[in-house]
Amino acid sequence: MQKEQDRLYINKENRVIFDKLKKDGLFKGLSNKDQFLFAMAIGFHNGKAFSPLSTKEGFFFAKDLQPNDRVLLEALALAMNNNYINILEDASAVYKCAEEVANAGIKILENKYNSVALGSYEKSLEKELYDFMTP
Amino acid sequence: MRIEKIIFKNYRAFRSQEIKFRPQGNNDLHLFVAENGVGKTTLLNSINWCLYNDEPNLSDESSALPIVSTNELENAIEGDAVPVSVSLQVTDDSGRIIEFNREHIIQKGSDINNYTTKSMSFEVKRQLDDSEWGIYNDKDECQKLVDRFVPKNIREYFFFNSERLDNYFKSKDSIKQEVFEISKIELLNLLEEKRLGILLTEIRREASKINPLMQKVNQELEECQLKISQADDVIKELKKIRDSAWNGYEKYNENLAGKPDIEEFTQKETDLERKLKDLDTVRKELLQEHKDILLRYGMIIPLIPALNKMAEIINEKQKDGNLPPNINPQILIDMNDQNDCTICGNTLTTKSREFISELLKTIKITKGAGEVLLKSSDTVDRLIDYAAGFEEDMKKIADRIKRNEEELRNNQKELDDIFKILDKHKDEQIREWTKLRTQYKEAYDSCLEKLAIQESALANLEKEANNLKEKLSDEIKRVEKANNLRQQIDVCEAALKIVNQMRKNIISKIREKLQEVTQSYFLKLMWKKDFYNKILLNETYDLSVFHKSGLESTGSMSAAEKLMLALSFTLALHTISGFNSPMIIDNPVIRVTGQMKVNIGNALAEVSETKQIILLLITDEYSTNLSSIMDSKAASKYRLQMSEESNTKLEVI
Repeated sequence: MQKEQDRLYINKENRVIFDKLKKDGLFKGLSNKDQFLFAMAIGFHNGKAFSPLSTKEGFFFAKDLQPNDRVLLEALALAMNNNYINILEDASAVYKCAEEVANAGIKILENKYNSVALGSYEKSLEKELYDFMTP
Repeated sequence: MRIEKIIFKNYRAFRSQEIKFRPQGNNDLHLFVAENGVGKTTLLNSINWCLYNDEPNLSDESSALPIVSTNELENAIEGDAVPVSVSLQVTDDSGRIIEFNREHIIQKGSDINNYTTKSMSFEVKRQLDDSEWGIYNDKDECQKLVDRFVPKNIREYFFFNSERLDNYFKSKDSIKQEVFEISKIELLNLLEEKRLGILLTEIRREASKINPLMQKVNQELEECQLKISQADDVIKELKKIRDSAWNGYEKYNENLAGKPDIEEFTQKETDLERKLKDLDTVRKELLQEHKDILLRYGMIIPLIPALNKMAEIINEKQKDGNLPPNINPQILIDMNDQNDCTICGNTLTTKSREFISELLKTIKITKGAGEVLLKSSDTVDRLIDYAAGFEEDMKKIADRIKRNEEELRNNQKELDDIFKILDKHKDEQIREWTKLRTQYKEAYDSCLEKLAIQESALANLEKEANNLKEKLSDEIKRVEKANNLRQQIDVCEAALKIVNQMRKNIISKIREKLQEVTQSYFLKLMWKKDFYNKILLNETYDLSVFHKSGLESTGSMSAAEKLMLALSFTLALHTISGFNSPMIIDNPVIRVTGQMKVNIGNALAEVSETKQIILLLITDEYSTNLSSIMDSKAASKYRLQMSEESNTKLEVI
């Protein structure tokens, strides 16, 4: 029986992006799990982007996922797999989906963050979310 | 008593001088007119120096110079002893002469700035009869003789300048004490407290020896009385400190009148800076909270389409009855693979296998997936609802940030305004005065607190003493042998009571008389006739002045009017006290003009009919309207002038 995946991974080369965003203040105070979930949301929001991992590095433990967080991963997995319900039975498949979307998302986030003036990313994010909620 | 002459030797600018005060006509009035800096105040100081060995009216310039004549010191060589002396000759009420002679010997050093006082002596010579003189060198004896002329603690009522009148009413307790001194009430106090008090103590002690209990009670009583006396001294001292602190506070308060309260603004500055710091911390927390909210919503809102779809799937499957799935499809798959029915154990037929395949097509959800969907159902709905609150939550945090920023702006503006005020009043002197005013106020408040405690303690001690006296009295009554002593105690106590009552009556009568005479002088001195018509002096020696309408007007009197009131009070004191020593006033009318000057001139001329008055005036003071009154009445008139060698010369006018 295959051992259940106990952690979620990022691309090793992307660690430096997460660290920079933490140092610059955007991810200050945020746990690795929340940083991952945010990157995942950005990836999904920007055309359901995904990118398979090359060199994996453990980022946080699966046991740290709260019920809310699991539901976000499940919803993402459904949406990324044409709503194939039975994918939900396979936790590793769900995690893999999340990892690939987060992998794409963190790169998109890095580009967006670097393209605006210091301290302005939050304003643009706020506007984006407002626009999303009030089409 | 009157001054007959003063003889100077090398005393400051009076190198070798003799001034005589011969009475002439009805008025014992003597005038000295001079420009500033010629020696007028030195004359006043010389009398103080001779009698009390101090110079209370010394200017800053003079205090830097030695007491000995600088010319004499310049002419002396190193090691020379230069004498400086003032001799004051007075006659007492019986016409006998008393001479007060003070001499210091100054030894010159290497130059005029180096000198030492080699010796000091004070001697009093008193004419006992036509041919016999008493010579006194003992300090205490000399002090008693000086006190008979003018006691030191009340000299300010006899030798003063008009500036002193300004500060007259600053300390009411000391005025009360000084009135007692001048009115010789102190003699009665001495009789009551010292003579009778001591006698009573001795008799009680004697009586208490007869009975041990009486002895014990008497001892306790004596200890209690000692504590009362000590408490009294402490209270007197505290009152002096209190008055001095209040004077200091009032002085700096007056100096700071009209200026912004630097202390208050400095405190406000500190408070605002602290508040701004706190607000800035809150601002940073709010910005962090804003970011946290944003990121939290940022994780969820982009996934809303996925969540909505998931909710849709869950609803659909629940409607279809496929959630939860009632058949586990894995069992059917296993059956097909093994070709056996896991329920009945029979081998599957072709028909059975077809049936299973058809069934599998209808079952789309695995058990595991179904369980996950079911479990997530409520959470999906909650997340969708939560996301809907984004706009409201962001508005709330934005409002809080806006309020914080507004508060920061307002406080910063207030701080900037205070900076401008403090910058404008950087004057170190104002800050120093503000600091001193606070210190004096704190000292005053502290004194009041201590006084309240001491006065309460004193009241308790007096109560205890009375209880002990009663106890002792009861004990003495019980013992027959002590009867005789008891009678003596009764006589002493009765005498004490009588003396105490006499003292109270005299004090009351003095106060009434003081009030009457002060009013009389005041109304005579005032240039505004029929404006004020009454003066009251209450038991605490507060003077109140009443307008003719009946309104109490003391608080609204001008500075000049207050000066007149103080002068009236002083003249009244002299009139009723029976203390007939001379009055010497430096610059008596320098602060007044016009009719008031004339009124004062007339009043002083009138007083000089019964008492020696010596006035020291600057030339401008002695204007035509004053000289026209005084010239005809003055017994002697001198002009003081400075010689080429900077010595004061006298010229009879």
